[in-house]
Amino acid sequence: MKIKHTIKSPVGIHARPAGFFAKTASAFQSVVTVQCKGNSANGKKLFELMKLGAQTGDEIEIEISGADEKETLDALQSFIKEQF
Amino acid sequence: MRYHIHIPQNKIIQKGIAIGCLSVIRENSEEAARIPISDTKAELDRIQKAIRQAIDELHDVYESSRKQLGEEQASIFQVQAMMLEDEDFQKCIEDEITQHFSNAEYALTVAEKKISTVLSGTGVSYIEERSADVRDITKRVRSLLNKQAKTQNISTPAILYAHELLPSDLMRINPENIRGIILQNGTAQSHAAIIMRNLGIPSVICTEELAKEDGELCVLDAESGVLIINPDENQQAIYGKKLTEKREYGEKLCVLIGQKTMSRSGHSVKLFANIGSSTELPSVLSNDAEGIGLVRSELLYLNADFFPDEDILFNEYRKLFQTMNEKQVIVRTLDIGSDKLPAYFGTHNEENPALGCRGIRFCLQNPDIFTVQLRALLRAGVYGNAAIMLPMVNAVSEITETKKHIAHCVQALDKEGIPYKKNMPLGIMIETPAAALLSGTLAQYADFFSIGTNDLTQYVLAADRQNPKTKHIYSEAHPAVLELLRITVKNAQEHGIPVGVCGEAAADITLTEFFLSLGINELSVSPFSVLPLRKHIQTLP
Repeated sequence: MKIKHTIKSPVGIHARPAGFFAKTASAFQSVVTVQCKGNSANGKKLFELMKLGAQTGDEIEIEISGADEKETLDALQSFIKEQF
Repeated sequence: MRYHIHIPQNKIIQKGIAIGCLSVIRENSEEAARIPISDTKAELDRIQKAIRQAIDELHDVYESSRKQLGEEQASIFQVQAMMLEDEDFQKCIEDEITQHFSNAEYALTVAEKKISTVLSGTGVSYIEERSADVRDITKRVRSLLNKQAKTQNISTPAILYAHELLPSDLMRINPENIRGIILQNGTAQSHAAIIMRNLGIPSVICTEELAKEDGELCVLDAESGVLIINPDENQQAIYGKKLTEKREYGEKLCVLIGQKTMSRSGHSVKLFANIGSSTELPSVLSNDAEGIGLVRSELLYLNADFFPDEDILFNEYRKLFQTMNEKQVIVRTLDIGSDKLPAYFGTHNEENPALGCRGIRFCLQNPDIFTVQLRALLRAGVYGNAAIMLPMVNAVSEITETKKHIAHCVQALDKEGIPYKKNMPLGIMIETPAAALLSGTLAQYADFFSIGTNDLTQYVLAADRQNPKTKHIYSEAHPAVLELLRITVKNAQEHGIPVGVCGEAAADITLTEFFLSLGINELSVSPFSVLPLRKHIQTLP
């Protein structure tokens, strides 16, 4: 499953939302990958997410695959809308 | 180097004498040296333990700061905890240990550098700034590693020398292996200091910069205030003898546990303890105090990063009341002035703090803060024999105004259906000359008196106790002070309310006979003074 999102937060993906994203993603079995500007990060790892350096206006693509991908997506989607 | 240093009395945290080898906890330099190790499993254990501890600490800091600073500010501690939990970060450290046989400290530095490089590679300033957090977390872990090594691996009893110790560091030490503690930083009122007192470990604060090495012999006389590093044979012999005498004296005192505090002619008095927080309860019990005559409730505020909320206070008070059971516990409400306000109270500069807005004055001017404490006290009151005491009272109106606040709290608690103690005794400190002179009127509004001799003396003689130039004027045995004591006790007796003494004078054995002759009901002293005082009273005619 894939979703796209354009970063609206004025500070990009800051450490705190990235941390919560990683924490939420880690609670599920599915593999979560986040892509931005041609780079890819393991969505369960805080530093990898920060390394993407996603800024306001950048588009990110989140790919989720695994047995519980539906639940993972549900958990992450509302969070992304509010925080990213 | 041989040192012979004088330690002022106000830098003594816990009295006692110790002789032992120094064990120095060094503040960490940013870069740790690489030390080749062979036991990778032990090294992994060390680092994992330190990381877990650091995460726990960060969660605590987050929780305590969240309520006051707000989620936004506090969340940085949560992010730091997440950083420590990061798989890549941990793996980087573990690889350095298992593959390169490096020590944990060095592996930590390697991981810090690697992550920092990655973050600064983004070219995005807000991400680069997070390098500071990475430095912060590695610093926390490094210091935990160091303290771990020092506090846990001491196999022979030693005297600990540290820049600073946190309560969590002290919780990990085995007190049997620590003969004494020398701190370079801190205050005798800190939470860590309270724990040291509670453990009964002779401890001092010595701000002087000393060249000291692990294993150097040290004599710590935290009674007369002397610190000797590398003592000569003569000094060793003198202190060795002192130690033996002290041990024998201590054994003799233990016999007094459970005995009554009564002079030979049958004058009896209750011996209560003064404490700062529930961490001191074990020493209250082990020294057989007959109650707690003074809980300095401001300590909880002074050691917090933010205003403690009602539940924090309630839990603390409940612990006190429950532990002491039917024995009385008198909690003095927040006694704070502009000279010792924690930062989160904001600034309240005053030209003359001793005569300023302190004690009950501060509380009545800040009802929001006061009410939280009163509610916590009323709620916890159901768990034991509790009493509330107001500091710095000068006038009847201060008591009646407090009673109004209590009535409001009671109304609210009734409405919320929360249980609380009804008619909890409300007493006052007699520590201003005005209060002593008007004690006849005040006695009609208060359920008990406790004479705070420290402030009373300073106010009646207009002499600062801390000022070396007025120290000779300050005397608790000054006739003017004793006259005010006489007036206060007489008025209390006429109105049938109990009266105690809770200042330094209470433990002054040259005044004990005077107190007994006046008919003081209770003397409240430091837990460690209870048994020596009982012994003294038993010898009085």
